[in-house]
Amino acid sequence: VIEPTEQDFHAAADDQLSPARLVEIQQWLASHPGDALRVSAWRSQKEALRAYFDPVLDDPVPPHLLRATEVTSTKVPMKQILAASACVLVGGAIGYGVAVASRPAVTSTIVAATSTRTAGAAGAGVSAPGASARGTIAASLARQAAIAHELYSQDVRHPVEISASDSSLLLQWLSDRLGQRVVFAQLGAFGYNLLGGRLLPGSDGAAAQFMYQGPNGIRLTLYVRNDSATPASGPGYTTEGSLGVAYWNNGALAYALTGPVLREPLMAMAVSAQAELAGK
Amino acid sequence: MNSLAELLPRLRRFARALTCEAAAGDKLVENAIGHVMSRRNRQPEGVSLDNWLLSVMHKLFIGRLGRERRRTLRRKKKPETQPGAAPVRDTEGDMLGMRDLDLALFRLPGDLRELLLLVTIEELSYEDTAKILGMPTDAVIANLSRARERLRILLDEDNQPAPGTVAALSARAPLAALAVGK
Repeated sequence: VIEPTEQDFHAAADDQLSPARLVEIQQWLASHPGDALRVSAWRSQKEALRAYFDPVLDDPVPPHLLRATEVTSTKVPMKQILAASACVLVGGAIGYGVAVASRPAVTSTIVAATSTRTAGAAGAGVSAPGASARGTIAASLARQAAIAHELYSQDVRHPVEISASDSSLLLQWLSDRLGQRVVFAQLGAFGYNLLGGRLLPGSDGAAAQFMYQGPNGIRLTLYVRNDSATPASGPGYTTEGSLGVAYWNNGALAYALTGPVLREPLMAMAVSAQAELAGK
Repeated sequence: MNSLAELLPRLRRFARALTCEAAAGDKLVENAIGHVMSRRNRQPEGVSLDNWLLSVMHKLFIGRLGRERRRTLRRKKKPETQPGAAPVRDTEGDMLGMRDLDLALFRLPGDLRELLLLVTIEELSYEDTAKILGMPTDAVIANLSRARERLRILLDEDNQPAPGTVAALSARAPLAALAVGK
C-alpha cells in the first residue's frame, strides 16, 4: 500500500476516492487508528453541517430573489406583454417555416422565453395605468425590440437571415416588406459592424432587425418598424432587464437600438444613427 | 434562465452558512444573481452555471470580509479572532441563543469557513474548489486540514458532546441578534 497523503484522508471523508484507492485507504485506516479517528471525525463534522443547513433547501425562496432571476423588467402593462409575447410566438413560427435549415431549438427557446417573461410580469403584478399613450408606445417598442434582441443575438448559427455581404438584397427585401425605404445605420466608428438582418412580425405589420457585432462579440440590434402616428422625436432611453434600449422616431419609422451596453455609449450611437438616417 | 431559479435553494443554503445569518445570506445571493444576470451572455467557457455563481459569491464575500476588516481597524477594536473572521462583536449576550455549530462556524476565519463549506455543503471536488478560490489544489488541502481541525477544537470548547448531536438542530431555529455586518 502506498502511504496515504493528506488529500487521501480528506477524500476518504468526502467520498472522493477512486474505488481502487478507496480499498487501499481503508486497509491503511484499519491498521492506523489515529488516522481512522481523524477521518471519521471529519465525516461526522460534514454530516453535522449538512444536517444543520439542509433545511434551508426546503424554505420557500423569497419572491424578490425569484424575480431577480427573470430577464424581464416589470414596467409595462400586462396587455402589451401578452401582445409582444404572442407576436414573438408568431414570429418564431414564421421564422421556422420560412428558414431553409430547420431550427426547432430556436422555436422552443421562444416558448420558454415567452412563458418566463409572462410569469415574471404576472408575479410582480405591476402595471402603469398613468403612463401616457406615447410612453406606452415607446415601452412597447422597447420591449419588442428587447425580446427580438434576446431571441436572435444569442443564436450562434443563424443570427441573421441575410448577411451583410448581401446588404443591397437585404435592404431591398426589408423595404419591400415594410412598404417604405429602410436603411441601416453605420456603427463602425463605434466598433460595431453589420452582421446582417432579418424580417420580424410587429404589432403593426412587419419589422426589421439589423444586427451588429462589436468588441468581445457583443451584439447590438437595430429594430425598425412602421410608426407614422408618433412625431419625430428622441432619442430616448430605457432598460429591459439587463439590456439598454435607445429609441427614436423619424415621423414614419420607429427605431430601437438594443444591447447589453451602458447608457452613455448606447445613446452616443443612437444620436449618431439618428442623424445619419435622417440624412438618407 | 430557469436553471438559475432552480439553483436558488442551494445558493441560499450556502450563503446562509457562509454569512452565518439568513438576511445577509439572501443579500449575498441577490448580489451574485444581479452580477450574473448582467453578464449572462459572458459565462466563462467550461464553467458550469452553479460554479460560476459560487465564484461570483466568493468574490463578493471576499470583498465584504475586506470591508469588515477595515471597519474593525477604524474602530480601533482589537480583533479577538483571526484575520478573515466574521466581524467581532461583544459576545456573551449575542451568542447565548446561537446554536453551537453556528457559533463554531461563525468563529472560524471567513476564508477557512468558505473553503470548508464548498467541500462539505456544496460537495465540490478539490479541483473545482481550487478554481473557485483561485488557489492551487495543494493549498486547498492544507487549508482544509486547518479548517477541519479548528472547527473540531471550537466544537470541543463549546462542550459539544459529539458532532452527531448537532445534527438534531435546525438552521431554521431563530437566531439571537446575530446580525453579521451592517
